[in-house]
Amino acid sequence: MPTIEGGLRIDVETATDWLVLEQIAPDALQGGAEKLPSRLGALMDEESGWDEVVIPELQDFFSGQLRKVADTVFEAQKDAGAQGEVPDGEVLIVREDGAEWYGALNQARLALERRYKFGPSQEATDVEEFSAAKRSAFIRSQFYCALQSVLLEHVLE
Amino acid sequence: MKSGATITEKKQKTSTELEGTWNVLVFDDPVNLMDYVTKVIQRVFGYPREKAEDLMMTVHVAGKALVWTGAREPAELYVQQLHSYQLQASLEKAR
Repeated sequence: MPTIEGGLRIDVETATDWLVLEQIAPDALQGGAEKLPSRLGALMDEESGWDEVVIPELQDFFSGQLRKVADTVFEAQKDAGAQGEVPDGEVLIVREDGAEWYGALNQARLALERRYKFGPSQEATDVEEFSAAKRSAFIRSQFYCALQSVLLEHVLE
Repeated sequence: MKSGATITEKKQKTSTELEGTWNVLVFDDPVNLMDYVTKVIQRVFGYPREKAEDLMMTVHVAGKALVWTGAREPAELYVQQLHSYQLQASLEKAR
């Protein structure tokens, strides 16, 4: 839900909702997020000094995005837990953090795509035939994509 | 003397190779959203939305698009920026 301050509020209603949000960073890391800068720079030649300078900077930058998301979800869970037994709560993405969230979600989707080879989402019509792990990953990827779309429309400038 | 001449030749050759005009290319991938690619191209290169959309469609349809041409150093900076937005990008010597 977009907020008046230009951010986004995610209403969390079940324990499963929390699990999915917690899974953003692990999905990115298990899919080799730390190698993303190398993959992006694979076509750059030696004269550019890409390996020595750019890749380490990008690794730090991308790690920061995942840390931001993990910390925000963790703090939101703590706040929700402090309010009682019911696991519902909310995750607030402030406008200033929109780009970091978008980047973290993108890392997760890139990693899931690399690992499971879903292809363009509109062509993924054989979900029922996926293994349980692949189906779960596909559903998470779709959720991350939906969240990115909302960020793109309401938060990112 | 021979090794000194060889080192000088290598430095001149490398310097010559880096001169001239370079193309910045953006490549398609199955993850990045089309609206996002458009926004990134606008932000990085300062293009109007229509031009950015045309380039995005070229990436989407042809698999890659030439988004900028110029000297090597700014070309590298542009590629670095595109990578920071997680777009697959590279540069090539312009013909």
